[in-house]
Amino acid sequence: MPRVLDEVRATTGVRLYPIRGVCVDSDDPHVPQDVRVDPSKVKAGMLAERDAGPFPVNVTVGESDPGRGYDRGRSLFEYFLDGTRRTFLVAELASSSQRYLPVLAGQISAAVVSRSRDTGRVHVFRHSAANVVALPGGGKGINQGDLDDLQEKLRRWSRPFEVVVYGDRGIPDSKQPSDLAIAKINEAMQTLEIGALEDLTNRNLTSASTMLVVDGSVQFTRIPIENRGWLRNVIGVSKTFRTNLVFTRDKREIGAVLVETLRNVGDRTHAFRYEFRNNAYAVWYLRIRDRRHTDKPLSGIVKLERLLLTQDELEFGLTTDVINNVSLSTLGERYVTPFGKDDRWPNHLYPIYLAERYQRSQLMGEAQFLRLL
Amino acid sequence: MSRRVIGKVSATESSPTTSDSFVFWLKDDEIVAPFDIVAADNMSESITYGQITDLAYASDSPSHIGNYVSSDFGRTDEVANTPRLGTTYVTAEVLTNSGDVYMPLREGKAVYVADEEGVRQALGLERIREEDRVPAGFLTLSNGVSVEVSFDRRFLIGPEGAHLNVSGISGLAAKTSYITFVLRALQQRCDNTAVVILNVKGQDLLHLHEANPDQTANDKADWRRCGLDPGPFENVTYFYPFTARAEWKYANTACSAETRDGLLAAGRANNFVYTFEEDKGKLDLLFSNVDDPNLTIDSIIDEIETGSQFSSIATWDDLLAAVRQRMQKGQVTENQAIQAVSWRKFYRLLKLHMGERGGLYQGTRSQAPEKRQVSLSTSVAQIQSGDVYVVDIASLEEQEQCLVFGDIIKTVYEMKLGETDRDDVPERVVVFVDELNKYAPSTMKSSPIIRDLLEITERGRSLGVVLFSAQQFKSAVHDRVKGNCGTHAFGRTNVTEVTKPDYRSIPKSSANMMTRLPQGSLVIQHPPYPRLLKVSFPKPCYFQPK
Repeated sequence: MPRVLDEVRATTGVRLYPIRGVCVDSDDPHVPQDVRVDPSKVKAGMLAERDAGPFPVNVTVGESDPGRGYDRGRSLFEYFLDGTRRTFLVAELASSSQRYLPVLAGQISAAVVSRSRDTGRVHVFRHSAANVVALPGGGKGINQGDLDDLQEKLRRWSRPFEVVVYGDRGIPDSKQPSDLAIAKINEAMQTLEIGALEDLTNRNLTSASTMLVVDGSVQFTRIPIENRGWLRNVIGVSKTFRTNLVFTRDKREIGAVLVETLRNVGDRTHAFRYEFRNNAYAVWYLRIRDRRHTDKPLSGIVKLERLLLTQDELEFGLTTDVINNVSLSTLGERYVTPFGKDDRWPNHLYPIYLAERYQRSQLMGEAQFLRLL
Repeated sequence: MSRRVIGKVSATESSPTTSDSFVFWLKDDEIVAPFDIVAADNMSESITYGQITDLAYASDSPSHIGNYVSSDFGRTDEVANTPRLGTTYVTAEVLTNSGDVYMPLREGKAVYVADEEGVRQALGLERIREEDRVPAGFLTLSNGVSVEVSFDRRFLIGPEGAHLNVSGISGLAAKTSYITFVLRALQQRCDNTAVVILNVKGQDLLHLHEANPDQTANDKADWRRCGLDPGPFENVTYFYPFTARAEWKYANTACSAETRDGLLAAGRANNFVYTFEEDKGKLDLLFSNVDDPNLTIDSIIDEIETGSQFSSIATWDDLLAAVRQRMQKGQVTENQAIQAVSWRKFYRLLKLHMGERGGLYQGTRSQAPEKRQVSLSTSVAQIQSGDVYVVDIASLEEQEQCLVFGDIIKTVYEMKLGETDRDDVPERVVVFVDELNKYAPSTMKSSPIIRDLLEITERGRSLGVVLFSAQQFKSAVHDRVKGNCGTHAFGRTNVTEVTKPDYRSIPKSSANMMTRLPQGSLVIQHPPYPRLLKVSFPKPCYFQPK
């Protein structure tokens, strides 16, 4: 059986030095999911909530069972999307431009699970996966023509591989080449996620009352501007987030704001406005777990995010009702939890966790995958 | 074969499939039970059949604390929006493979419930020759599939294997009902076989010849499904212990007067007695259960049988008198090793049974027709093929029961050994006794009855002497006696019993299942079947007084 690295060598003529598969995924649960947000781009005091009341807001006020949130009958959430990857450093190569660069390979996938309103059981609604090999391109890597030839060949394999090219816009000395490769693999994974968003939208399945929840941010920068409507009924929920962003007028970092104000289950901040690459987002934080039961001050607080789409939303933000309903739906997702399996259990939404588990169960075993290379 | 898929094979690093077993996860809405039979495709277009031995449900929670937390730290009214992930894992032991392929099943193979044809194939029912099939009941799966199961005659009553032992709690286990079902099947299916049954309590087995008035059309249909006539036993003769009480028709039995009188009048019942002349050689059986570590009683009996001082004795009364005389101090005896104190003990025991005149022990057999006195051993030695002899010992003392049971097995054994002039001895004689632990207790290494039982269980299968036995607790029975039984049936038993070594070879889940078996269901272990089977059987065909 031909192997990927042999094919790379044969097609591009590059000098390859295989490595016996070193996993380069960071399992550090403390890496913020909104790490790409640039603190300098945040304008303090900009709200994306019209008629914002006193701060903080408790979304459960008036509810018959404070702290419970919406049950699945009332919940706005019906679909849950998660992407996952498993990445390995599989070789290093000496390019014709005398650079010594890494070759990474991995399995990427995206899955949407849907939840029955009757039984609460989740089912895989959509799952897509791909094998990728990340090779350096641009002026310091492999010739683009050779990479195109390689791609054509690898796509025809019984277990096809996608070629992901990193460094095509240069490899600055300030960045690790492997980080650039991982970022490109992440982009490929995001492409699978975007495919799921497109599918759901085209099939008219999501609505204001049957929303899709995405693990992490909704900053899908690869969605063309004209297709931003795919994110209309999508909410991003981040388990971990940067604490040094400054959203409030008093210039306090958000971590300091949250720890002092979100004390009770159901407390939320105002929705703050944040702009990134021509898109505007409403971002707010919600406490979903009692602080007494968590081991860190900010555990139990999640970050919610929604793209502002309509002119009305862009000018005035989201209505308090929308924000509260989304918050109450999020609150309802607290049970059950992966307590004992993940340090971030206070912040997990269980259906997302299940989507991730499903994908992990579909990945090839490490030995099997590395044998393909 | 229908293919209703109920799950898929699950092979993991820590729990791989093997040639012997596999695990599959079960669809959420399926219900299965231990002992059910399932199937999955294997290599070379073969089918692997497995029997469910264990069911377990696991969720993805690593601890109970995780579940507590998941209910909002102990809220009992909490209803999760998304129920916790969980599934039922089913462990199945491989029964057989249609193509003799014993490769472990591959991960993800569809598992389906076996249909009737599949169950037959799985158990190898078709491999038992038609003429050798003795109905053993029905095997009913959770999906409603019900298949008639048969014993292989060659393994039930010889010559390949023999003896059936049934254990279980009184009443709940239906031991007697099951054995009589098998005996009735033998009577219908096996020519040249005779049966001797001991009735040990009440009138359980004293109406075998009467039809069961409670038998419904469905009950009869069950018998017919097994290929059997639902009618009561045929050719039944009863033997009651003799008593001097004329108003009881000289029969010491719990049988209802009407039935007893009818049977005695019709010559289908007799009253048995023991006379010194004919039965003095069976004295040892009377003391089977007496603890005799120094073999003193053995020596005394030996002296009675062979000593010159006892040679002129003709009746049991004479014997008592002679023994009483030996108790006196200063008596000169042939065997000086037996002390007077031992004779005194022997006398006490003997007097216990023979002190009352006019009972089982007679000076000589009466010729009066209304007394219908017979010698049990002489009668049993005349048994014909197709006969069912029921010997009622329910009203006898425990020692006397040992005497009668020992007498029967000795007689049958000697008859089969050829110590008879008959040339029409039945090919197989089945002796059924309940409460086997009384005659062969686990606590006693040897006794006259144990020696005879060992003879039967170890050599009987080739001779054609077969023991069907029952007891509440298997652990209470002599190891070698039960160990020689080829076929075992287990009815409902208790938790303590299944922790005993007798159940060590049985999968824990199956053993535990035995503590929950419903009345009328048993688990059978029969050499041709690779695993235990849970069976039910038709309601009794004979009248059982409440």
